[in-house]
Amino acid sequence: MNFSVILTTVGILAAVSAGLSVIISVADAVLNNYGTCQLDINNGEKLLSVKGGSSLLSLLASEKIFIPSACGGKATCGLCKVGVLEGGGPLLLTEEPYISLEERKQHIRLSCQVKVKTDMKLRIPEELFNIKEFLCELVEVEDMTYDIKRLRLKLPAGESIKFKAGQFVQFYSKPYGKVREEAFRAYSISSKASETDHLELLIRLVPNGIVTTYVHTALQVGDTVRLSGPYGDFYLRGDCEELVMIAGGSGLAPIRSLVYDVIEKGLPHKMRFFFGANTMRDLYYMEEFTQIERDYPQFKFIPCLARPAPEDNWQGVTGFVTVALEEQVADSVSKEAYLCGSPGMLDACIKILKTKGFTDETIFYDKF
Amino acid sequence: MKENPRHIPVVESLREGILSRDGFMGEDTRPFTDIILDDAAVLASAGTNAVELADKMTRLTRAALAQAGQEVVVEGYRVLVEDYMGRISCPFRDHRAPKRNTQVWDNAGRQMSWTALGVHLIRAHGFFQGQGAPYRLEPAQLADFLRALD
Repeated sequence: MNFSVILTTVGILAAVSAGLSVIISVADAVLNNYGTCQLDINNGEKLLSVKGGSSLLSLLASEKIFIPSACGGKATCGLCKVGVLEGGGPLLLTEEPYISLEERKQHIRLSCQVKVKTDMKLRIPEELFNIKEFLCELVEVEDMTYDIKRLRLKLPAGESIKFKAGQFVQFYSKPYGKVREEAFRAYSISSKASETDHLELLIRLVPNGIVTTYVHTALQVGDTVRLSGPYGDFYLRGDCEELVMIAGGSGLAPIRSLVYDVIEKGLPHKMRFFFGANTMRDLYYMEEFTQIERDYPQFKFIPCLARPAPEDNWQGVTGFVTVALEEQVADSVSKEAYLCGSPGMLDACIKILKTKGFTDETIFYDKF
Repeated sequence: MKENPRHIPVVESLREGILSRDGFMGEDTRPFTDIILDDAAVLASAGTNAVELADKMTRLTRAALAQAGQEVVVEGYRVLVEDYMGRISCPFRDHRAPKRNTQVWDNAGRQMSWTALGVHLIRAHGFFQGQGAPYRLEPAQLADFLRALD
């Protein structure tokens, strides 16, 4: 075959490919063009015109209505529920695990899974309209342990955030390395609720995690970080005399905020904080909580080490946090329990708490 | 070959930066359906199957979970489970697994590790992940490693 035939063939193939690309692009634009859709929220309270084709979650966010989501729209957290009264289409398989029969009757859907293709009627809790977006400056990063970093973020001048101790924000990472898209995850606020111009977060590196790897390897002091919030119903109820607080790893974050909230507000509750860790190198904020214990007799700090090394000369509780819980919490009388940690730790602690008489109404934790 | 339209969301979710930083395909250029078929053939010739292996992996992880963060000996293996906050979605969209890693050493000093999601992928989908993916498990190696659990 001579060279000119090869060139001609390649040229024809290239032209055909280019032509097909154009046809596909045009077809995509035509077939997936849902035009402008009207979103009627809460029976006419808010009317939005949006360009159809994206998820309800992302379109609402683009209109500054932030629905809580801990997983970044991947249908894994089940937090982004809204009422879709009209226009949502049938419930998807991806939504089924998160939507109870009662919620189905109320037309509850996962907004990350519902694609806006037509006009819709929505029902969204009023309090979500108060959630705001912030472009913060990262002003401090501190290694609390070998795999947990504390981030201190400064809100833009003149802006403030009002949150309940225990609530979380959504943290948006930027594309980096092999990650080509923005992602977001939920992180509890560890700073005091009284401090409204800064926020602090504690973020543990998760192997192969998209956002935690971004925080631990790419984020630098001085960078701008996008957050939205506050979200969540993990906050103090206080309809009791004593608060039993349990955390592991970066789960300390919301508990720290809760402890300061009780103290700053002068609330009368006794507090017992069980902090579970494996070894000495997993412990942090030890001096701070020990100092709080000295200053406020109502607060008792119980760090538990599962496997202290002999050279640690560990004088505290040895064993899993569940062991300390079993031994030191006699009953549930006038107590509420606040938990934050890994699913395994939560399950084990909840099981013990229930044997002590705690119920779903007196045990609080974030379900993401 | 034309992509099955039902597979498009799965293919998207398998790539890096969508559900996890490194994704599930590594450098493997085969369709995920071919990876599943190829690995199933390897297992069949080894006289086992994905569900059987997933059962054994689950047994080891469960036994060590109560003492997460601490190395324990289970059926002759040393097992260490690390539990993290949060969950990760299955790329096939039928499950959300806790972010949990299990490391296992046998008496010969060989080591293998898996995630809770990895075990689900093997059990429910026969998917051991693509070559080069950080949590890819070679079916023949895994079968041999878990042989003592028979």
